[in-house]
Amino acid sequence: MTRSTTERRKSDSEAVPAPVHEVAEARRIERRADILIFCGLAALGMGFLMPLGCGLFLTGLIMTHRARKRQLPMRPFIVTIIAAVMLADSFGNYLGWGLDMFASNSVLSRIAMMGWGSLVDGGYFWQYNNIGIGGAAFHGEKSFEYACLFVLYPLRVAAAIALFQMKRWALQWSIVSCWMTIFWLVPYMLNFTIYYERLEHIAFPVTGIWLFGWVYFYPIYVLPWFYTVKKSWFTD
Amino acid sequence: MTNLAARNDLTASTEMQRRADRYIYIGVVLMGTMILSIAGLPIFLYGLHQLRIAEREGISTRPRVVTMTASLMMVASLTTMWQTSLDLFANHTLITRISALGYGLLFDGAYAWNYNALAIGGAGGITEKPYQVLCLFILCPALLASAVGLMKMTRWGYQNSVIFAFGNIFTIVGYTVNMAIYHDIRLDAAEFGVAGWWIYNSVRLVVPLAILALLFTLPKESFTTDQIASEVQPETTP
Repeated sequence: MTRSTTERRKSDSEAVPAPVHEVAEARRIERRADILIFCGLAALGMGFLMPLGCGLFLTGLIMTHRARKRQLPMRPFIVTIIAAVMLADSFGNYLGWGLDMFASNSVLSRIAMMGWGSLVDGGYFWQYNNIGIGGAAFHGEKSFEYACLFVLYPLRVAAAIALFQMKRWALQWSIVSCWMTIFWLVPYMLNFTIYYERLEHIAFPVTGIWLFGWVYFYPIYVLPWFYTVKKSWFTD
Repeated sequence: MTNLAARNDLTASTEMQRRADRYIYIGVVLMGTMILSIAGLPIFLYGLHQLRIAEREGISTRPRVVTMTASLMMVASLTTMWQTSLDLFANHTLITRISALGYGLLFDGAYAWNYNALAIGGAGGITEKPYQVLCLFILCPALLASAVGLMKMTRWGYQNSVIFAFGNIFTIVGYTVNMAIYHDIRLDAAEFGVAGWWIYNSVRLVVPLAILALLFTLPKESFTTDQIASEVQPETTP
């Protein structure tokens, strides 16, 4: 059991141990809320079930919020939010890139990719499914798909789930996963620049990818938080 | 051991370490240039020899396995930086055209077929470029810095080595997928094919795995230079 969640924190400086029955109550509410949050995020990541996912996720958040108002020793709100963003990002990319890699000929991905491609990223539109491996027509895309689907996102999902449990190793693995995002984004952006044809002849050239792309930059904003957060929050 | 004796021992050990490290760093940098690799090897070995002498004299030195890992990281990063920077920026110089062609014909066809035929220059496999920028500007400098931290036995050196070893694994996975997708010009056309590429690049593939295995097995407490220094502060009388 983590120290941070067994204390009722009035401020960061004075931490008072919470009574046992309050801790048990908080754990019970947290577990119920986490089930809703997990299901909501999984649905959010599917894209098509986004409204349902939003509802479940917000219900879970409200449950934890109410418990926190009752002065129960709950997990810090920011931890829930950051872990949730990490999970939603991983699940969303699993679906998008998983479809492009393995199910590029299915009706679902052909419809979804045409939309994405004609609006934001021409790599998913022009010559789609024309190369031997299928999917996006630009080879450089595949290497990032494999590296992210098999290295980055499994690591991030594990880290996010452990963040929900306030484990110490979750903090360390989140830092690793945030750095890995930088390893992914920099060459990916360069790939875009080299294949600038991807950004031409589409509805929102260049601006479109930045509008959507900033979502992927969140690990860069979160990384300083991971380095400066009180490590005593995360103690197995 | 009294505090004073401990402090003297620590001074002797840091002095000895610094002297040996100078040879190790010079040797590593020379080995990293690839052209002067052979000149760097004896200097590096001399540095290791000095560390061994210190060990035999009973002076506490850094664990040998840490020295080896940090050196491996530095050599791998420096050789990668050398290759990628030549291919990115100096792809029309004589030295690049000769060395890249040799490497291309033997191991990786992208550096031989259609070399310099793209607008951006350099290797003909265009997906090579993002990985070159990644290695040259992010991965390898970060690995170099972590290796120096590791040589100093600092905690940040330990943590950053873990982080960037994982980054290295990510890079290698993506790079290998690229090799597989462009197998027709890159691996089929080369003299030694797939086997040659694996043999040549084994150092870079083994380095991150070796670092991770090593760092996760070593006791974390040994990576605390500052703490040891503060423990043996001379006693102050009020």
